[in-house]
Amino acid sequence: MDGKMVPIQYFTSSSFDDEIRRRRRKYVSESSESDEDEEDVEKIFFFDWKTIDSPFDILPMEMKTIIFQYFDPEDITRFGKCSKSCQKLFKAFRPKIKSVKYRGNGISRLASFRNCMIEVEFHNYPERRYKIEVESLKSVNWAEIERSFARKMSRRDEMIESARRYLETMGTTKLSNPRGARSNVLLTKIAKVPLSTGPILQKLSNRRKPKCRRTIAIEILKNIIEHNKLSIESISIEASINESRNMRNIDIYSENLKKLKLNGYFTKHPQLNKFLSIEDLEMENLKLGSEHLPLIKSNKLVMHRTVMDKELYEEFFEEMERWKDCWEFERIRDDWR
Amino acid sequence: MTDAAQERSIKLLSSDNETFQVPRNVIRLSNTINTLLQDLGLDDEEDAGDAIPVQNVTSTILKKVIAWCQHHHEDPVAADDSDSREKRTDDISSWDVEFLKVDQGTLFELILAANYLDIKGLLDVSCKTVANMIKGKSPEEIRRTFNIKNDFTPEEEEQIRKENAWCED
Repeated sequence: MDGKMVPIQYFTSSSFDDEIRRRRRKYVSESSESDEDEEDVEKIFFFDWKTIDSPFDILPMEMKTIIFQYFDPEDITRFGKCSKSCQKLFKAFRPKIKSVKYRGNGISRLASFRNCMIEVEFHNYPERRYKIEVESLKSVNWAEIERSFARKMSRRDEMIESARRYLETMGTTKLSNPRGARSNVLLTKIAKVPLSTGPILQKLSNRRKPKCRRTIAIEILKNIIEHNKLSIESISIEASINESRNMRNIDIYSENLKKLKLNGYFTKHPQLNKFLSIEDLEMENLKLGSEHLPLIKSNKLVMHRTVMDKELYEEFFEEMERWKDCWEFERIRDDWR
Repeated sequence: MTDAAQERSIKLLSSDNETFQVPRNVIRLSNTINTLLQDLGLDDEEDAGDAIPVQNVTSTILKKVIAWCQHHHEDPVAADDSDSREKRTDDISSWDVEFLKVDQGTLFELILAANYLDIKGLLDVSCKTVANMIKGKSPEEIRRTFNIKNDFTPEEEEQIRKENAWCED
């Protein structure tokens, strides 16, 4: 060896050496012996655990990479929640999506949305495939998923966009499309639903599948609840009134109103009074045609003549509960806000 | 490597100036030392000569590294890792499990040393051990385990929770 010391660092990766040098400098600067020259420092270098908060601090990125490769995406995610520096690591190592397979029926069957899953395969976790429910898709804001999903949803997006344009250009008082106008007026005046709900409802309700229309109706009703901060009970009342109106039968609707009054619903739900009066409804009913709310008409739950039917009422309530945190609903609602 | 080279010893000098005599066939597990000796043509020399300075590894850690190499030096050479191969953490031998029952400081320094000396087997097993300390734990448990300070604001925490809701348990 000719008595020479071999510079072993020569054979190590530059990044690791840089890291070690950085830490060495840090250590030296914090040490009372900081005036020692570099050569001496080389010899005394070691990790002073008293100055290191977390052992993870000492690991260079390349070694963290090795550790992270043993993690499931869930482990990486949880690790990322520990601190800001952990979050940076998470972002560097988070699963890279390889493919997304959407298993659902798209807009044509909104009713099946809650059963839709997307299957995600990750580049860095080839052995693992994840099924993600559509309901939680909103929180996965990775562009890959969005793009893939958007293709599937393009028809629905077109409809929403079309409805939005429709509203923007026509406004709510000068709607040229009588059906759209009627739906809109009805919903905004009676239920104070966000304005764009009407046309959307109208367009979507052209779908002939009853289950689809029923689901949309429930969605709209949920919207009504949200917007007016009503209880489900009072929404049932609304639906019942609408149904009566839809049948162009002033007697039935009046009868229903009477029943409601008799049963104390207006007293029980005073919030109804602020946007609903018998006179208003009568006026509306005379103005409106018979086909303005086909989806509500088709909805068996709200079609029922009386809101007092306990069995249907409970079924409706359960249905609403199932849709409580529905991604699709939230998205629609957010879009329209 | 010749038979003679296999039989001879190599001297390693730790960062705190302690010298270790290590059989050549034991330290062959370190690619760094292997490459060093081969590139400098020292592999076939009879005289071990001066100690090779391993400046970033303390004597305590170097002793552990050598002990690991001694136990594993006859292990068959593992096939190259394929990216598509499942990364398991439940295949650590019982000897390694016992060997790595050390304090966290030692464990992390072992990882650094294994990386520095390019001892793949030791690096893998020690990283797996750390991974096992994290796997399945909640963020709070991970913080406690590794003394990580939560420096998120509640708003940031909520935002992250929302972003990763799909991955929630």
